[in-house]
Amino acid sequence: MKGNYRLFCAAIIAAASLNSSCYAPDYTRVVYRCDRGKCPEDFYCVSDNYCTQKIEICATGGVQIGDTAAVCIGRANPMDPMSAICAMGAASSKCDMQTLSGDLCKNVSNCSYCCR
Amino acid sequence: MIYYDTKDYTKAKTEFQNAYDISHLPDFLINLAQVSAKLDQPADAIKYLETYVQECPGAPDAPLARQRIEDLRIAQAIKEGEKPPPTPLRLPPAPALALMGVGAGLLIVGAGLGGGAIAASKQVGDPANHNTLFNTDLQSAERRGRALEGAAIAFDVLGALSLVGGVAWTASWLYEQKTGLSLALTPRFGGFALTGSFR
Repeated sequence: MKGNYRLFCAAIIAAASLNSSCYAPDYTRVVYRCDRGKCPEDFYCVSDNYCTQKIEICATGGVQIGDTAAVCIGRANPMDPMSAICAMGAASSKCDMQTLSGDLCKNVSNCSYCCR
Repeated sequence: MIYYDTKDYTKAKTEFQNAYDISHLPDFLINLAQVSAKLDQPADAIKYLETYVQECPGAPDAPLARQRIEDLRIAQAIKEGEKPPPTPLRLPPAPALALMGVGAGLLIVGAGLGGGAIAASKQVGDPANHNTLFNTDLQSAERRGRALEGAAIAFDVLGALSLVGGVAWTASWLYEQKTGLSLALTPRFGGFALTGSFR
């Protein structure tokens, strides 16, 4: 009977994992603007009206596009146009733009690629 | 028994017959069937086994006796130079077949729902939407995708459980001649657990 239980458990796990990642939009190639504050789940609306996630690489928020790379939107101080977009230790200059898709900041204000 | 052990099957048969005539214990019918088979008298063996099954239809070894009757009939037919009677097609118990069918159906529905979730996922992650509002269409696509994913998981879990249950039941029938299923609610882990076994 123990074998049967193991078989049942394996079947449940296999079946659950079969569809557990069916809904997984690829957000590495799209940046959304907030619609009256609404964003995809796990994203929040920054002051620049873009949907971002809280990411360590970014000063405010952004979209993770790699292990150590993100598209960051919003400045650390929204009132200061010279304040940082990347978080401490991260910089645009550290990004290898040949390996990253380079058009996500197009027409997006206060946006920069940041890498560690 | 001494005659049987010494392979004097003719005398053993006589002794078993006498014992059965006196006691009418059905177990002697099995002994008589065995010695008849040893004596290459399949017709007699079949007769004894049929009587046994008739007298003890619920005995634990009744399914084996029925199977033995079938085997002896085939042996008898071969011995008489006839074509062996066609073995009747033995199908697994109907509930086991139904479980497997339902399980497969649920898995197919689950796969369809999963496909719907993937389609919604592609719509929300479409690069063509870059720098656009996350509007109500996209919001509803996201809700639909998550709902479809949840439903797909539920259907797949139920389908897999059903399919595995049906396969286990069929295996139990095939190898242990068990055709029934008993379910019981037993107190366990501070609550109740549904346990089942094939019988």
